[in-house]
Amino acid sequence: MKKILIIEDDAFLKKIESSKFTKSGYDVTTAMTKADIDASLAASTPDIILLDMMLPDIDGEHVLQNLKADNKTKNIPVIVFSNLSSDADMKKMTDAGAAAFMIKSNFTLDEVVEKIHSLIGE
Amino acid sequence: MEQSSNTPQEKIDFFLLTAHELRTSLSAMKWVFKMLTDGDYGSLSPEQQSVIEQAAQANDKMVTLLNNTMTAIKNDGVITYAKLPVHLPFFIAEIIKEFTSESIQKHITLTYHQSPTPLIVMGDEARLRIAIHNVIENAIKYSPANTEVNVALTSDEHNAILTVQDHGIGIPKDQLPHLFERFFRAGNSTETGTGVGLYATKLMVEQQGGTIAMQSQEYIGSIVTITLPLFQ
Repeated sequence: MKKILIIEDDAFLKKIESSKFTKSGYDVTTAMTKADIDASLAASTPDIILLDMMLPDIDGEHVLQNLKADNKTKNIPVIVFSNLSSDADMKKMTDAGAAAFMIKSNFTLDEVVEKIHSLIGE
Repeated sequence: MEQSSNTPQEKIDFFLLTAHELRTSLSAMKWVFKMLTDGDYGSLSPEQQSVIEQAAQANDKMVTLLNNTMTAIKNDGVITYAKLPVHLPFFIAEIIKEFTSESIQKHITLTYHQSPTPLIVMGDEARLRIAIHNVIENAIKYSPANTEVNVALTSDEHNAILTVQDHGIGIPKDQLPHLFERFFRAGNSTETGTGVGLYATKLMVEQQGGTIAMQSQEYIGSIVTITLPLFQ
């Protein structure tokens, strides 16, 4: 079973995402703070990461930079999944190595699952 | 009482922050409505299914309005766009799928003549999605029941050419030159709207290197043509 790490601070969105991806056959872990993210990555390596940009104690750009700087995590595809959509945000996350940038309110979770399938398979 | 005057940029930043918060709630509703109608939380009665589908459509309209308003407001700044390959025939088919239940409810036949050849453009997928969504949404919105909306994707040597034809109320001839102006509303419109949709659509298409034009005859219908440079 492929593993997804959801990095998201909104409790309700996190709950719905977890429910959908679990039903779609993925093993789902969630994190919200820097300590959560570090603990989760130390415990297991996900096949893909969904990354929100606005987090309580670290921003998404730094999370992505840290992931890409670490040999253990640099090859994990990261989908930036945010409701920010400025050109500057999209460019900096794409430049930092994001595999995709999806605006939450523009996509259903089925479409996110399709994107995940296209990146890592079922 | 203490008063402060905000600069235009501060006002834009405040609006964008508010928009981000609004989007969070709209996302939650969008996902939950879809999961409910897909039966993820158990089966629904036909009446429950119907009202939730309508709520989902109302929610999507708010998403569209917010996206268009954000584009219109951000136009004052310098905009750079992500350029990634977009496979148009498949991409447009996916957008059309989103209108399935709305077109059925309005008794409108939505057809799609898909290019048999792969047409790839380099563009910003998010912006292209909103632009094409807007044009198809308008065609359905202004069409009476029992008519067709025809979407076709073709190409010439350099461009992908998307046409969206409706048989709706059309635009009075004297108003055609103003169609793509911010806050323009056609005088014969009977639908609610804000007048930012076509303006934002034009901005988004042009920012991808494309063009948009509309031919229209009142009470006959309209054809919107979008061209986008092919990736060669």
